[in-house]
Amino acid sequence: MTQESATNNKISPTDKKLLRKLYLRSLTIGAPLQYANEYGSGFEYSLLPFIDHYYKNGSEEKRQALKRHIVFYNITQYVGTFCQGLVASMEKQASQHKDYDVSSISAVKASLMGPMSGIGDTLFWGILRVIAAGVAMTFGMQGNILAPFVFLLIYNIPAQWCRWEMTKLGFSVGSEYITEMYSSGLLTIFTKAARTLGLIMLGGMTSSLVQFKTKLVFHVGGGQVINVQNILDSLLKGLVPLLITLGCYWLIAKKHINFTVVILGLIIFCILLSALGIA
Amino acid sequence: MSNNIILAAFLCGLAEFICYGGDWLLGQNMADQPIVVGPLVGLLLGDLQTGIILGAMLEATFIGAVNVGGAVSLNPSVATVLAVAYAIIGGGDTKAAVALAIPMGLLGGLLEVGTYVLFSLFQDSWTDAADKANEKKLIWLHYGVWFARSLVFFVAVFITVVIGVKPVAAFIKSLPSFVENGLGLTGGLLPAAGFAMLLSMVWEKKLAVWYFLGFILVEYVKLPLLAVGIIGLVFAVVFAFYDKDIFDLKHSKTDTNSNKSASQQEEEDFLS
Repeated sequence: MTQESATNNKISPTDKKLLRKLYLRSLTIGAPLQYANEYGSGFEYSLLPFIDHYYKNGSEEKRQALKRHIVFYNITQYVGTFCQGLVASMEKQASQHKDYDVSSISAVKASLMGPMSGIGDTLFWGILRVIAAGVAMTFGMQGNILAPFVFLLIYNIPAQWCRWEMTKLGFSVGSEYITEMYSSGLLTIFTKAARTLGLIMLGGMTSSLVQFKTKLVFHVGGGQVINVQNILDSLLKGLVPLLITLGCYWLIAKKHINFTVVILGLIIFCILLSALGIA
Repeated sequence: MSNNIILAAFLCGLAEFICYGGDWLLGQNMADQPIVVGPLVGLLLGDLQTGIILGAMLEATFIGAVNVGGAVSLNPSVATVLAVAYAIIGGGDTKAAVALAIPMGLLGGLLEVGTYVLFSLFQDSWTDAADKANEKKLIWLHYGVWFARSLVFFVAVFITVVIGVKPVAAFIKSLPSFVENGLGLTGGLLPAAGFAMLLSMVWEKKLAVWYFLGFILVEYVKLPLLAVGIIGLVFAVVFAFYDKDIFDLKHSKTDTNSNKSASQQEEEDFLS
């Protein structure tokens, strides 16, 4: 935290104005999403204020900078502004020092994509969205019009705040910090903490949101009835949802089965169970 | 009559454009989630209550429709618009509407993948614009592709509602009840696939036990998810500081004492 307050002072008023533009433009980063460059167009568009301000118009350096960023890029957008802010500060330096190694810019981008998306997707797609939806769904089930507003506020206030903080942080830390982050073990520790939180939440979500009950009953002699669901519950409550979730995980992570195929499989599996009268 | 359906289809397409396009235009604000889409379609078609309730039900169904790591398979906004339209215009009951939403979500997902492939064709224009430092063209492409791909969704929903709602209503009625029941079951199990997708990003052998803690906290202790999140945060923070201490200790040792004994090495391996 001291790092942040110490470096915040270093952002000049001009840069702050440019960062605000970067932030606002980064909101559209996914607008033209496609497979060729994914968020590449948005990355370029967000960076234009900086490139325009720091590179001379019509210069070869500016052209090279523009070419550098219209390539594949994708980081969960609420945290990806860290990378965008960082790249903005590197481009600023590159424009001022002729001997700046510009290849380091692309290298930093590439090194951040994997780890930051892993953390970002888990925290936002996995956790925040599900908590926001959980709260809003109770309103919605009662037909309360507040549901969509509650959902959007719970999700967006932290998400878009994080986007802005990450913009400033990325710009102020400098690229040396990335090396430091790796060597000080900070990134590993942070990733582990995010994974711990993610796993606990996913466990809770599996229990509360994956639903399955079997209707299967066996009539044995003497009018006795064996209710299969009761037997399953006495083993472990929620056993079937747990096993199905872990089964899907196994298919996706270990057998590399396509997500869509897993979903199609689930549909066929359910219709089959229904046809057989199991559920 | 036919005028009415065209107007309704236009409004459905508009809702899709606002929610899907708006989500991507404004910081992925999640406006394309069923809980937002449902009420908007309900409002436009004149039955807000149905929209809100169906939106909440479909939110649970599509909670696992995670759009991460380039994997798209279900499009929740298309599914919600069509399911709510089917319930309000086609007079379907909510159970049938939820069942219908799943195949519609799959088709919507296919459409989404189609647009991603289609608009990849513009990569040459992007590269060319950057190469010529043509910033105006870069900005045009940025917003132009957004508009075009959102328009594709508008048109797809419009056409589906115009030709689809009545035949679909008839088709759903003709389905054997076990199919409808099976699709309803799928709704309960779909989140499993989404969570599995997220699990594949965070799973680590040494950490996997935490998953079972979360499961038990909800299944047996009946804690709400928010409480589970806070407990998770506490554990994560405690262990992060603990790990940091171990890391620092280990490194201060290696700095001062480069040739250490085997027993020390062993101890450190144990701690890490």
